[in-house]
Amino acid sequence: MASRTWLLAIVAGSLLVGSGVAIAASLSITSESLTTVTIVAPVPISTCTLTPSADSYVDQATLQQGSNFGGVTPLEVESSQGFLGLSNSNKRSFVTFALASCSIPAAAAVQSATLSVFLSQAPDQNRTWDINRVTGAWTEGAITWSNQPASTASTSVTTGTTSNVTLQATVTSNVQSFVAGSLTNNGWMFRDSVENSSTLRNGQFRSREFATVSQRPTLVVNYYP
Amino acid sequence: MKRLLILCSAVAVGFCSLASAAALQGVTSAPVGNGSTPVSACDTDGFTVSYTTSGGNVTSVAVGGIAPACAGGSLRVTVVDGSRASVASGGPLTVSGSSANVSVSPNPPGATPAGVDVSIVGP
Repeated sequence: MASRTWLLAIVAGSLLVGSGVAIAASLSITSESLTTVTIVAPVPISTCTLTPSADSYVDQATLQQGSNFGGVTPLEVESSQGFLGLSNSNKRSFVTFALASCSIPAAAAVQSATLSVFLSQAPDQNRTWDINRVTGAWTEGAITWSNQPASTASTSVTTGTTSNVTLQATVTSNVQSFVAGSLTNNGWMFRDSVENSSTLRNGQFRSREFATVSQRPTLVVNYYP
Repeated sequence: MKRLLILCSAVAVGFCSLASAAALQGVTSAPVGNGSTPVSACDTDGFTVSYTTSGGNVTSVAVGGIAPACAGGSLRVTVVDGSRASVASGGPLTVSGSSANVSVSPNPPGATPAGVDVSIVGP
């Protein structure tokens, strides 16, 4: 009787020990090491900053329609119906940037593209300037009012009436298309959204020829290659 | 008296078993499960990571600064967004050398990742 009791006690003890091992096994305990590290690291964005490869303004005034202003600074945007309203004399400005020099891959994702100009002389009344994507070719040394290329609406900025400030416009969609090759990069044209004003409204911004580099127009493109 | 000894023996063995199991559970459940406390680490000074993008999307993660002690281990990466949700993962890859380039899937937009979880099991 005594020996049977011992046997029962040993079996009971073994079962309990066995259940402990089973629990350990169920927890997948091994002798391997585990190294885990979390690194906070967003994907670095690539940036390309450009100054214009060409810029100029064109003048509608009767005696200026064939003139080229490619080498001058500042660039001008003007709404005017001219002297005594006899002949409209608006002014428009063109800028373009050599995006190819950024070597942005055609499939890159452009996150933002910002066009900036330094307003050296604000209009005396707040104006809206249309910034149109230019759809035809032009060159700085040959563009005139008479031969200016066509353009299509893109975006706009408001000038305010304060001089010596930077105006910025978002042109991300245009630049994405330029990079992808679905649109040809001919730059942008600035013009008053309401031309032929009975009261002359003139604003001026620095051109690429201006001595102070930081006041030249810029195009800043942020993208993921 | 004998019966009392037998009973005590059985209770003692059983108690030890339960105590062992309890101790093991304490070691393993939370730390390994959530990865916040390595059981032991083959690399204690961290890693570096860099991304490769194509078409604006992340295609691979390069892990650098891997300690020699990790050679032979199994490396996995999980790319996470700003809310720590997984947006891509890659591996396992057997570690050999101080760096590893791991292709990830899917390929999230470059603006999405906020970081990378790197884990090495073993060696």
